[in-house]
Amino acid sequence: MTDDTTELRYPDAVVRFGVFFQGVNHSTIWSDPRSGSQLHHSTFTQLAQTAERGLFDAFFLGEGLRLREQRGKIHDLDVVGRPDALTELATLAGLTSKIGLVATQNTTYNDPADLARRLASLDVLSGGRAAWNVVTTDNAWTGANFRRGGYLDHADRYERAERFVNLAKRVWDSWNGDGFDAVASDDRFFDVEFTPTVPRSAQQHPVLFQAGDSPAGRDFATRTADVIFSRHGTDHADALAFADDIRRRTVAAGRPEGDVLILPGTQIVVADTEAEVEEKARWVLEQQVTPATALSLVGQVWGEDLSGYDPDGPLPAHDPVIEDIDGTRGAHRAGANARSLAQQWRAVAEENKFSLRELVLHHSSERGFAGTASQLADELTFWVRSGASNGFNITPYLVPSGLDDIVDQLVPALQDRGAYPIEYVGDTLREHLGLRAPLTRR
Amino acid sequence: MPTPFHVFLEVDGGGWHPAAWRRSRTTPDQVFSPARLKEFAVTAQAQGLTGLTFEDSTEPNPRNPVGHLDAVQRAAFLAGTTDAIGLLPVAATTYSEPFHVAAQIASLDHSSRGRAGWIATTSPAAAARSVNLPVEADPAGELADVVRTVRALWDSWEDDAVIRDVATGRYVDRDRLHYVDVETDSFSVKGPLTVPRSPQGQSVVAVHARDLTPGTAADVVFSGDERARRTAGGPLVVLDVEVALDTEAHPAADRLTALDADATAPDRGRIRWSGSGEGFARYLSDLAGSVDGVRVHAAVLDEDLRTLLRTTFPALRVARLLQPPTAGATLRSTLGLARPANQFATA
Ligand SMILES: Cc1cc2nc3c(=O)[nH]c(=O)nc-3n(C[C@H](O)[C@H](O)[C@H](O)COP(=O)(O)O)c2cc1C
Repeated sequence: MTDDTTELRYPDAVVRFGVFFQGVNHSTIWSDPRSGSQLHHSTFTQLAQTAERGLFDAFFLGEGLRLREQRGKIHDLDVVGRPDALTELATLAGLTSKIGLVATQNTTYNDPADLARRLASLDVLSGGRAAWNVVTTDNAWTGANFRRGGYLDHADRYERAERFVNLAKRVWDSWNGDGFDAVASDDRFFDVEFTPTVPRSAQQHPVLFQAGDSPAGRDFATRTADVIFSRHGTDHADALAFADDIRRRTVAAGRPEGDVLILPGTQIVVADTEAEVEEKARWVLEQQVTPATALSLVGQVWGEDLSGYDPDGPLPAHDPVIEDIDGTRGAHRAGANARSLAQQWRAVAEENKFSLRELVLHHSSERGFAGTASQLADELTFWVRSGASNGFNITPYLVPSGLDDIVDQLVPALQDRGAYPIEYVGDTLREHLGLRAPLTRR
Repeated sequence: MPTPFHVFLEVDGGGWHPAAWRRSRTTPDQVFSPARLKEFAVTAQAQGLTGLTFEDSTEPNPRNPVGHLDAVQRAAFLAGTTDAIGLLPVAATTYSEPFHVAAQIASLDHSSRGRAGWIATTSPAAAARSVNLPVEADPAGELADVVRTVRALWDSWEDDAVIRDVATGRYVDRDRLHYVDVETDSFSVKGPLTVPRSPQGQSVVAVHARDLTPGTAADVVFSGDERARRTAGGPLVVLDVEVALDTEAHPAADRLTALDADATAPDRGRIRWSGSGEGFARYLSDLAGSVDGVRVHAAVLDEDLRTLLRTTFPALRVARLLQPPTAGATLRSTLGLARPANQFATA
């Protein structure tokens, strides 16, 4: 790789790590004897403290406000059930001292006065380590749990999100040194008036992350956020194209090129030898895609219950019974045309002589990185120095022990290359990330 | 064995007196310091108190520019660094999302391993403006609806819904998850909650007497009426007492006069008591026969707490009135309340 280094656009860049505790998913291997509770407080404490030992920038919690269903039945194969993100992070604020605490919270089923206040409270309690991962959940189906119901048109969700975030920033900036200025807004989303009550934190206000991939989502991020939590964390060319697009949009939004950091979600499998790496990666994949999960994933495309099928047999011979794949219920390829996807899958299966489950394993095998610590250190360093990302938001496939080998083996290997911090530079998340003052205060 | 008597300590801001923040040894910004909060919690736990309460207000007080941090966040912050004391934050019911409140308190119950309480309170009408909802005509009725809904959500997972059945690949048993399908005049909630049932099953629900209607399912009632008595099978009665005590340097009466000169304290419908720390201990001992506990509001936390620690609490311990909760005990068990059966559980 020595020859390439001359072409690296960011030769001094360091790798940043976050840990993403998804909570609800089929990639956390719950069936293994080493797998702990998905909810017990010790699980969160161990993960956060391990990440802090490994100098991670941040601990993320995901959010989803309705249990997923398939064909009217609550989905029962995946890990499900997680704590309220802000509440859990406040507990972790009392048990950690450096790591950033990122709460995923949507802008559709929250109110700015309330959410901005709770985020600011976490920020003060943690000494300036809070962040908000802004998401835009927008289905009437989740709305069934909330006062206003499923009221938001798809086309409006980013407009509401941007107004929401801007209102929150005004809440955080309302301390005038002597008291709080009232905050009022009377646009079509927020006809509100109130006076905030939470003072400014050590990092001024929470850091803003954004997760959402459409052009509207990218523009929203480059106008308002500090960091993007992306899903471009497995294929280098894809990640580089995404990062270049973000840099272009950031400049168009009137900000310096590198002003928005990019942390893709990814999975990392590390082992001592290449043979062990291969064996471990295969094991992880097969645990994640059990025969029942394979049938369920294919069932989402075909739009019917395929649990009676043989996972080691062929894909269904008939066409899907649905037009488009329904995203609101937690399907993975939401919005895709079912019939054409089924045709593609059948073609791939025929060509490779794949059984139903083998096909799903094939499609699921590109989840992230696998290698020895030294191989991974080279590869991840290359990612950040070539400009494909600023680091990675790691989803452990096992909790609570899933970060152990990353912290004990990969982090030192990265440090040996000068590509990872050797200590926290400050106390706040804004300092860890090397961010400048909040956007509103420049 | 004396009748159980429970002492709670309220820890919001500088103290109950609106001029407290001026007198605190802490500067206004330190009122929020996480270290100070931890110190209160560790001290109160070591003293054998039953619980800390976290009052809250989303309305700024013009006389107290320092504001408030969210109560649930403060309680959760202490969950991991304490192991015996109950943590009871306020979460308002009037314009809140019952789903969010249910998830927050259930999460607090998980992270504190069963020591969460919830003080359900109504919000002032002005709060409607912060969320653009119509002013609620019947806040107490709304509170009863929200409590009922939150309780249903807490039961929406049966205790053993997570089965982790490797043979079938099922993580949960969907038959032990329940839609709550609550429908009221002002909201509807489908369910189930996104948080599994918590250690206490139902966290302890506390309501101020002023917010109480016959339909409210409360475990504890905070009352400002000295004649309040528990009715058979009714909620525990905890008396709200605002106290100002003699300190080493100043008698309580002088302290109150000085505080009142800065700001007059509003009548919050609580008992007000002032005098010596020993006298306060005797007052509490007398109460012990009639109510289940007391919630102590200190005029100036930093000053009065020292007297409480030096004289009042030790005297209560000697009288065997303070019965320190044991490490690992749930708030329910400390309070002598049973862990409720799940309303949706199938036999
Ligand atoms: C990496 C990543 C993580 C996300 N995590 C969450 C989450 O935890 N909760 C949630 O409601 N939405 C989450 N989202 C969904 C987005 O906020 C958004 O609703 C979705 O991507 C659709 O918007 P888009 O069309 O702009 O991509 C996530 C999206 C991405 C890309």
